[in-house]
Amino acid sequence: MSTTLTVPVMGTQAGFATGKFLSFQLSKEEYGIAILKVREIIGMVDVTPLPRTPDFVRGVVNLRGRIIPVIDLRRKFGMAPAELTNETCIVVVDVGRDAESAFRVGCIVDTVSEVLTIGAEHFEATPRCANAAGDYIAGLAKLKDRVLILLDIERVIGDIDPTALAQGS
Amino acid sequence: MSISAGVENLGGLIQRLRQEGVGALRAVVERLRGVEIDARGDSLDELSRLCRVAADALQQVGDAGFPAHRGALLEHLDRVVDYAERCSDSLQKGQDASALVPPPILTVPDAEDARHFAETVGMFVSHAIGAVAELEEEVLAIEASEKPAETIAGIRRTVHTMKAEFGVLNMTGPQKLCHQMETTIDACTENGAAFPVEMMLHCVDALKQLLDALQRDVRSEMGDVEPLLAKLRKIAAAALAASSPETPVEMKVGGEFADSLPEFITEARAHLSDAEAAMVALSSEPDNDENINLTFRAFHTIKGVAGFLNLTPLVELAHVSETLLDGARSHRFAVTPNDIDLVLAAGDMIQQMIASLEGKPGPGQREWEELIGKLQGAASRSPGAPPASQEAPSVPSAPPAKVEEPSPAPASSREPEPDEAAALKKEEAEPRTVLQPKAPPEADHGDHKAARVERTIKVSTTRLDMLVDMVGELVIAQSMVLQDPAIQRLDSQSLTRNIGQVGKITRDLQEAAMSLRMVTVKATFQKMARLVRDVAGKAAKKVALSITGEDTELDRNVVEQISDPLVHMIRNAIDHGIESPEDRRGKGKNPEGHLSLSAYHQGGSIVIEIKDDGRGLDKQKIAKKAIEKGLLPADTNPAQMTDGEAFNLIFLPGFSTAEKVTDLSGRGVGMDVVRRNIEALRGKIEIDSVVGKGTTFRMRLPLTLAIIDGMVVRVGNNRYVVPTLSIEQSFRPAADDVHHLVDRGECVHVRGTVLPVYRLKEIFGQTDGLDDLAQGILIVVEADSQRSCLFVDEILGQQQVVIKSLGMPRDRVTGLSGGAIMTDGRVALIVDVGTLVESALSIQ
Repeated sequence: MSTTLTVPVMGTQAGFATGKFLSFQLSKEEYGIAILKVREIIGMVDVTPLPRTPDFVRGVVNLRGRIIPVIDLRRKFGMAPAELTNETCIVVVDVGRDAESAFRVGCIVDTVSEVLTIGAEHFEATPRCANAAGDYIAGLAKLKDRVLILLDIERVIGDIDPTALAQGS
Repeated sequence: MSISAGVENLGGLIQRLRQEGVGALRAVVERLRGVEIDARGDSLDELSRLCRVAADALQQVGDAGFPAHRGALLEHLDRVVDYAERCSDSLQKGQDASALVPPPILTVPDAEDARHFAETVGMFVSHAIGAVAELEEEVLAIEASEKPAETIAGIRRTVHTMKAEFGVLNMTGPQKLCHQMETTIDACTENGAAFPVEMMLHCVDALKQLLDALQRDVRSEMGDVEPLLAKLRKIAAAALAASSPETPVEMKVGGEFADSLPEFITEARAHLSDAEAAMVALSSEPDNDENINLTFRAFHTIKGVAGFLNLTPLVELAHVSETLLDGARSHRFAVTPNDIDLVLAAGDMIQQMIASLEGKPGPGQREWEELIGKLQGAASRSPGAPPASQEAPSVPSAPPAKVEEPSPAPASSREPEPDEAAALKKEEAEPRTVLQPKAPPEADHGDHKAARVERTIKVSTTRLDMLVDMVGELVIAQSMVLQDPAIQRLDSQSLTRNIGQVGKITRDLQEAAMSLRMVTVKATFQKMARLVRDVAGKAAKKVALSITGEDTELDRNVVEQISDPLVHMIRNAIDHGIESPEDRRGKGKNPEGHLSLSAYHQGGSIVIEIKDDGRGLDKQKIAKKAIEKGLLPADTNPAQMTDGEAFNLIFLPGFSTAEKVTDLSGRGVGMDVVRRNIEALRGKIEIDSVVGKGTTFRMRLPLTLAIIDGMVVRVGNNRYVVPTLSIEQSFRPAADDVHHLVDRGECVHVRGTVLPVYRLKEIFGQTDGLDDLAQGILIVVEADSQRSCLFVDEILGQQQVVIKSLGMPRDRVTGLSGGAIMTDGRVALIVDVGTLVESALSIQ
């Protein structure tokens, strides 16, 4: 289905849409983040709340001497908060297309599952979604028995800017 | 046997001894013994004694052997034979033989001495083998050596010691060789010629052979040293001949920025290697202008900095290279391979010049002039003209002078041994110049320089910051281990001791890591010296500047940012503070104004002070002006203001007491910038001033931007760090001191003044934390010369923390200046009092 690839998908580059993805669970859905963006996965740690930031920014944590913000993807996508479990973890991603905008963010997810190779044959363009996560979806990957929602993490994190929030509120 | 027959026989035997060596020894000894007995029979006592001594001596030769005495012994034997012959003659003629004068009796060392000698030689050899091996190592190391002058001095010392030892042992051959080695080394170093590595290695090999032989047999002698000596003499002569015409280019660092030499050296090297790569790339892709541009920029930068350092020859060379590159850049002519060669040669020569600043031999003056000439020739050619390579067919690449002029130029340090034939030719071609006064001893000059240049490397600040971060993490991890209950339960003295040791090392490491980012304020202060001269000139004032404490160290980031405030304050001090020479004379002051700039430590921070002896700040005038400009309410009574309040007015944006705006100052922007910059550095500024006497501006700055002294406070479950610098006091308010103002929030009475109260809990939107002011603590803070109170649950303590970015895009969260990692590994937020108060006002 090479035709699907040529369809411009949410402004992402074609290269983004295929390759290896880290899959993780949020609520009952399975999501994927391009593995190249993922730096590491750490267990849940104490988060220091950061005032005057969008509510999905849970706060900041100490990542081996470096302070990074942590966002709550459930809250971001308007889902009900989940209880902390042993499986709850933080996926640390590096975003930003150049050195100036680059920064490192942790994303709280329910659990991480596996690394999947998504080829063009699995890929399907985003249907118009009404839910809050809709804007952040790069596409869907149809696997044998399930569907993986591929996130455009750049867009998700692009909203983190507190000054933008100040204007909104 | 008659004595005459015996003596005749003896003469022949000695001849054999001479030819055959030790083999004939026994026969000679026997014959001597025979002659001795015969002589005694003929009552020739003298001869008999001579023969006995000689025979004894020869026997010892057989036992131990004295290479050094062999010649003497043989000569003595000749004399004995001669005497014996004369004795036998006179006997035959019936004359009295006792009238003949006997040769002196040989004083022969006894066997004890012989053994002693063998031991001495043995000791010498075992010692000398080590020394020669060391010598070889040193000679080989010389090319790679950073301080060749020191290595050469070492070699010279070793050779000299060996010469003396050979002398003691009467080994004339090796002694002569060492002597000539010394002479040659001196000739080369004193005249700036390259060290004759190859030749020295030959000599070392010869010495090694001798020592090997001596080890096997103490009587060994050196082979013929004359060829080696001749070669050494040639080299020395060549060095002397070359020295006079080829004086090295004078490189003398000077100017006010001489201290930045190490930086210049590292930077220039980086630029040169960039330029070289670009020029090399240019030869394969001649149409890529970027390569030329890059090289141009590199030379331009080097030229600029070298100019500051007064390195005139370097500046000139960089300048002509630049001219050539500029021609190519503007397409006045096409770049030829010859141009590339020339630019590369220029780059190489600049490298050598830089190396000469570190004490290595630099390029020769003539070489330099030649290259400059060629570069100029190439740069001035017209587009149509053939490239300069036709005029100068053998344009050298690096080093420039080698192809055309095979002199052992000092620059050719890469070529250890000057071509001998060429050296000879040169020697013939030019009159001996040995007696001409030598060039100033460049080696000494170099040594001196080399000692002063502290070697530095360029490290990216990111890496430094990373190191500091990791060390910070280590400190936290260490204290976490220490406080771990499992560890604390253990009752072990050795564990406690070891943990203490780790703690000490960790702290030292942290200090060392922090110090990596510290630099002196010297460079900044020196820039100010220049500024003072310029500004004073423009303002037609005479100002003397004195600088103290320029070695005070500050975090690099701080140093970079104090430059602007300093410029403003110094301009102001000269333009407004210091009066014109006439006014000063009228007031009975020295017509030359005095400005002092100093830096010193005070209570954990750095103070930078700018003090002038000008007219001082007039409180009345400032207040009047402020009212005029609407910066103060019109009904303010200046007399009621404190000095501090009045002086702080000058920091307000738009404030200026200057009657007219000059190109130096007076727009009322300066002091506002000063205060903002200093506050951005978490510093403070204070003013002292006495009308007519002068003004002092005092900047109090943190040692580093990375660490602050903070008060750790708790609000609900969260911890915050409030910089100690902004805190005045803290107290628990009595219920009746607190007042609620309608629509204006709440305020509290503190020692007669009323201050607004801001609750951190509300500002930061926390749901937990105390509500009752009387149960918590109020902290009086000051920011932007406004005081206010922050309400927190409790104060947990005071602590130094490392400020870290919160990692947010744009890196700004209102009311916070960053985060700190606390000893439990969690993050506490650092409060930025200035923006916090501002935002609190906007919320209300």
